[in-house]
Amino acid sequence: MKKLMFLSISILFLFAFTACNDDDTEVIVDSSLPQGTFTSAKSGTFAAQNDTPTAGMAQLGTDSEGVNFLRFTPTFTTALATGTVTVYFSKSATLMFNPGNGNPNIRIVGTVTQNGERFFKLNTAVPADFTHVILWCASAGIPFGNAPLN
Amino acid sequence: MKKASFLILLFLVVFFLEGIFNNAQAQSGWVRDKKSAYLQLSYSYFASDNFYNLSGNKLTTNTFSQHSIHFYGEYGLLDRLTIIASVPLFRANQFKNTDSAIGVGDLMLQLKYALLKGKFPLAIIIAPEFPTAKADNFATNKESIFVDRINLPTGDGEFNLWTMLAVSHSFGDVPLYISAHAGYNFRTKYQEEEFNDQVRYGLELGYNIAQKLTLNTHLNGFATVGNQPLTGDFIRSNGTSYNSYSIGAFYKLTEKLRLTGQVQGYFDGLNERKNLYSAPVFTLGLAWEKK
Repeated sequence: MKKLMFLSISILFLFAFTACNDDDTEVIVDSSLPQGTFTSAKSGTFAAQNDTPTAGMAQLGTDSEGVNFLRFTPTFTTALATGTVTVYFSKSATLMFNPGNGNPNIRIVGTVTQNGERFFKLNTAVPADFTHVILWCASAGIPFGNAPLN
Repeated sequence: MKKASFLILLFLVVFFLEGIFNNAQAQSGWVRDKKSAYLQLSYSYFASDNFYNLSGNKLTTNTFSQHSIHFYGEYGLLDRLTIIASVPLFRANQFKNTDSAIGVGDLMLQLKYALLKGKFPLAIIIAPEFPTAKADNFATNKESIFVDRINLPTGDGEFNLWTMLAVSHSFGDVPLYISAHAGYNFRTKYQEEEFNDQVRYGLELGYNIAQKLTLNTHLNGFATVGNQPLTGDFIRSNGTSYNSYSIGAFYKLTEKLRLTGQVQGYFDGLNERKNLYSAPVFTLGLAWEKK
């Protein structure tokens, strides 16, 4: 009986101290977000199109590990009550689709569904001739805004 | 026979004018006789790539289309009081590259009271509209490599209240009638979006060209009250304005059944087209009337 009590108390102590041990706290690393400091290399302010409330800035840069990211600043807004907006890099302020030749003038980035700050992790650096970020309502086929990357 | 007529009315796919933003039917100063009824089932189709934005600029977009099956019913509750129900039983909204957002529309009830009877009947209409449709209803883009959705609800997501006055006159020996109406829509809000109130007004002219055939035409105006909103999606029609015309016909199939058809179009003028897909709305319908 004494052995059983001793064992039970030992287990309770073990749990109690383990739970308070800071060394075991898990750190979740979100690889889709910049590690360390994000440094902007190019940026531009969004110009609204087609009566949308588009505003804020787009920034192209790298994090402390040299990974490329596109960032929308916390002031970013656009018309999202209607649904999803698709983000493109473009070689001009106007999105020029050319599917027959592999769409050489645009590069799709992703979609945005919420206003506010947003990071898009990029697998490769963006060539310098992609000069604009375009917000595109794909369902209606109209732009909601664009930002030059200067 | 009565049951058969009613079943035919319910199950036939029919066409009748019902503009996508124009929930109130054409108004007249006449009310129904006590215990008389009028029921109508209709189907309308509309497709357009001509979008007029909130600034009135015309854009070419992917084609937006809408199919709608609409129920409209009147009943003479009292000699001077008619109750009216109007609701899209089925509505499907889509762009050419999305699937359809499908659902019922918003239910509008109308209480129509005869202020004056006689040669120039005058009626007042109080018409609350309830957000019976899903306030958000997403269609999915079939061509996107990402999950890409657009909100195309079959109602506007708000409670609103129309008040209208309508006056009519029949020219007696000449089988001709004319009606005029004006109305004000007290709108509320959807989520954080406050809607502007709206006004509408219009004229209707009808002529009984043959024993069984009546032709009619409408001219309507629709405008937003107050400052033009700077943002807003077309589907909830905040900031929408237009002028519209229609040409229609009623054909008596039997003493109680009528086939109806109409085409409605939009144009600029007093009310510039804004926040609106503009194209003809084609409709055919079947109506049943008990006098």
